[in-house]
Amino acid sequence: MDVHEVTTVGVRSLHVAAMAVALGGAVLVALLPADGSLGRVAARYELAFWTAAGVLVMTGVGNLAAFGQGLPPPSSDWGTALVAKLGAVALLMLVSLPRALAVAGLEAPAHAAAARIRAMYAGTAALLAAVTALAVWLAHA
Amino acid sequence: MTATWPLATFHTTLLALVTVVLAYRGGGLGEALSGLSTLAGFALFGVLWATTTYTTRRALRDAPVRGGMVRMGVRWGAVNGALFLWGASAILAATQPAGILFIVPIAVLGTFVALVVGAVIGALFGIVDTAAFGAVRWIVRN
Repeated sequence: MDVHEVTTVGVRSLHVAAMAVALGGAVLVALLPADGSLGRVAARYELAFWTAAGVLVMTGVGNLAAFGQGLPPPSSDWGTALVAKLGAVALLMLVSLPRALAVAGLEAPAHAAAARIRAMYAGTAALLAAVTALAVWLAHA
Repeated sequence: MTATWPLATFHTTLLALVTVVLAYRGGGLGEALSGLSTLAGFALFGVLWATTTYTTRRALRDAPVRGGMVRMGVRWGAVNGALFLWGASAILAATQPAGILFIVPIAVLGTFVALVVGAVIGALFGIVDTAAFGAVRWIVRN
């Protein structure tokens, strides 16, 4: 393998690892009991989630750069799926922000708030799974 | 955990996503990315992430006493625009030394444009952030 191939594989590996952290963590927090302990674990997950989100976008652009001038046009099926995937990621960021700000402001949430936050992690996991499904389709189309 | 990291990363990633989608739909993304090495691309993203984290921290600190998220978004968004332009110029100058005679004047002359663009983007994010803080009240209600 030459330097370009090593870089490409490294960027893709980092991309997949960041998604594993984001999706696996969201599933884990969604399965926790909705009590006072949720806040502490959720706060740690939020640090990992937002770091993973930054790495995902950075390496995602790196993956697109590997196509160079051979990037399929937006009018193709592949292009439509890519725009849908990027739109889903933007939506994920938008719905994750209030959840993260809520977790940042609560040490030990009351039961009702904890249940609401836990449900939001289930929603986050579902959105991340949808993004992953689109990514798998894009990689094999 | 404080609100700085989620907010700063949200601003950075959403701005990058919108820029990529607009460039892709406009047809110029492949050409723009092929002219940039992976390392330089990561460095540019890293600079944007770092300057946005710094300015978001300052905006959050100043917002309660100096007039809210939108006003601080304008002020610190403008600062972020200029800081990013200078950081990006330094990276381009380091990776393409032959172009330094063009890069330095563009960095100097482009500062005013960067201040204005940063202020507009900062105001938009100030509105989104205000809505997000409003949604927090719904999440944590008993």
